[in-house]
Amino acid sequence: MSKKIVVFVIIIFSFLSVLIIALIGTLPDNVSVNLEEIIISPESYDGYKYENNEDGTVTSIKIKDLKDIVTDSNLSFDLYYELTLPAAFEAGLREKYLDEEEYLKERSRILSILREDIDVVSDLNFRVDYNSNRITLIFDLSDLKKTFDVKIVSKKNQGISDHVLLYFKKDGESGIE
Amino acid sequence: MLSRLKILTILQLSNLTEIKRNKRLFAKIALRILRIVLVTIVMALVVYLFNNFLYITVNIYFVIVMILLSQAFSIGGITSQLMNSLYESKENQILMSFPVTDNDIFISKLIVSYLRELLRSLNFIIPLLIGVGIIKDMGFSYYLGVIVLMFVLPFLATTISSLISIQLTFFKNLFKRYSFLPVILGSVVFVALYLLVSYGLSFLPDQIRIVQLYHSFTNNLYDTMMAISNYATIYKVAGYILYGQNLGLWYPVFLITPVVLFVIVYLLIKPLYFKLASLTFEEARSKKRKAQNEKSNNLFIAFFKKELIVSFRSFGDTLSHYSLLLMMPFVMLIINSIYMRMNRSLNGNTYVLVFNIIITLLIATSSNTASATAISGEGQEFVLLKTAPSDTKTIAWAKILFNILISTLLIFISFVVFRLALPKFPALDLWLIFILVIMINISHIFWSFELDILNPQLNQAMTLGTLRNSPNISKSIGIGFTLSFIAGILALGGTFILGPYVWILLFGLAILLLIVRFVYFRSYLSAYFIDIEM
Repeated sequence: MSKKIVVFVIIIFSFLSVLIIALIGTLPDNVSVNLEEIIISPESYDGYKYENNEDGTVTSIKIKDLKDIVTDSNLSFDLYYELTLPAAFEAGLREKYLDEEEYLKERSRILSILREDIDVVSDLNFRVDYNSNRITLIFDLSDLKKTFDVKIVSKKNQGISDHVLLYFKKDGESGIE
Repeated sequence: MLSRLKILTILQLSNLTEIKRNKRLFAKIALRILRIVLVTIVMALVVYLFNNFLYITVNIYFVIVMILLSQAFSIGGITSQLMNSLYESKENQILMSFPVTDNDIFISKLIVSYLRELLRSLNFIIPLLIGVGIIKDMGFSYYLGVIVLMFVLPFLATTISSLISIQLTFFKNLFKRYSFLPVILGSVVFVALYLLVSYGLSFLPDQIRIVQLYHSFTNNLYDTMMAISNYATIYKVAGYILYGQNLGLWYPVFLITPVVLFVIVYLLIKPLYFKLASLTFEEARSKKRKAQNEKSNNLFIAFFKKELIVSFRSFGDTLSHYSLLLMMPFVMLIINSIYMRMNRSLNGNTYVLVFNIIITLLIATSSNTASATAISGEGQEFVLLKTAPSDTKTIAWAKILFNILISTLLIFISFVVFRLALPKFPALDLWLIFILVIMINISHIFWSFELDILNPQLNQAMTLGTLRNSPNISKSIGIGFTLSFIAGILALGGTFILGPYVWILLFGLAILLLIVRFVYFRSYLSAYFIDIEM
């Protein structure tokens, strides 16, 4: 047995130890609340596109121009979102935990569980970084002039969602057609 | 010149390979091809696993980073090999006596290196690139690019390595002359690494959930790959070639750059090569230290002092023995930072304790290779020791005390650094683990030393000049491995049965082990030291 093998064993064992503690050494996840809203962060969209519906109402859709962001040398775009808890639940939590630090810790624990409640619907390849509330959308070179709809939705309640239309503005064009 | 280069290259290759024995040459070639095919299949499966199950995006950035990583490893390996073959190899004395120029020798050595690297590239990067091509369904131009890369990448690695090797040879000679320099440099690297790890760990979220952590990891990995790719210079061009971007521009750039680099290297090294290569010649060497006769009244202190001086003079060897111990604070800090940020149950806390005992013991005991080669390391000097008119087995006690002190000191520093970096970890548990680790480690040092007394490898040290393949090292590491897991299992079972009283059981057993190993060591030393022969 050589030192190289020991180094390998230490790395594998450290990795396994984290997995074991995560699987059988942590407290159960019990939260009695669902997400109130999923909102795409303002820095992840430029504005709105308005569409007239058949019933006379107008729907606003968030839009983002990626022309100068996603290029040959940068084939990804980070979409940020925010999750909110019901106001009544937040108030109850504040009442229960008078100490600010305790309150923030419990809130953080609940949000860390609820973060996994989201799902993404898109034709693009993507990865979700739950800790940073970030979705990394990965483009191919052939995607650079296409339009994509990205929808973030709650797994437990499909009604809670938000979406953004990503497009590449053509030269001389004022906005999305 | 070409015919001279051909002869010199074949001459050096025949020393390194079994090129002369070509009876089974075709069978060997067939086996080699079969191995490449098998490695390619495995690589394709790994790429598929990465892409489809592990959420690691396989695209141009992945390819560029993989090429860059393989080149980094290649350059590291070739540099170390070139430092030896270009400037320190004993065959230089023979080659330079041939009717050839220094340039012929220099270039032939680079050709030998290139050929070896070409074959080595067939073990990893080329099968990996073909694997990516299969999984991502790439077209003809991709595979054409792979063939070009197969020949150009080893050339690039060899050229860059030859450039680096001259600077490193200079530093190596400097470090040999001033032995305090590597100590200072090592300390600076250690502190920088510690700050870097601490900075990296500050990004860990407060409440870790393993799925989320993994997704964060893959996301950050992608960002890192993209950032690295953008600064990958010539390797970025290799990626463009594989992905068929602007081939008319990038192919010439990719092919001309290594040639230009080679010309620069040749012009730079040409005036220096003979001077550096001839440093290995006997007449070029000068005695670094003057011998001084000092009288000592205490044999033990004389031997202990000798150990201290030798460890500083051959600092590289000392470092290689204890290098894993230097890793200890980093490993402890990283895994415990993750453990502490999990919402652990009572059982979780027990697992934390047990994993810490196993991991610290694994690191500590695998660093006792100095004890497992203590007697063998004396090599041909041992004969002088045996003929000295005094009780020379005292050297064993001096050596063992030195090893115990240095090992304990390094483990103590690791625990202090860890304590300062992660005050959240329960202090009582930490220092109890420390005492347990020290006791088991000292027992293991006695055990490892005992292996070398019973089976000394003096001949290996004399003939090969290294004890890297000593069976005592493997046995010592194996015993440490077993002790670590036994201690871990006892701690786990004991905690569930005895609760906090588990420490009494663990310390009791550790003290028993320490006494047994001490008695055995003393007995074996008294009985067998006198029988050790060259």
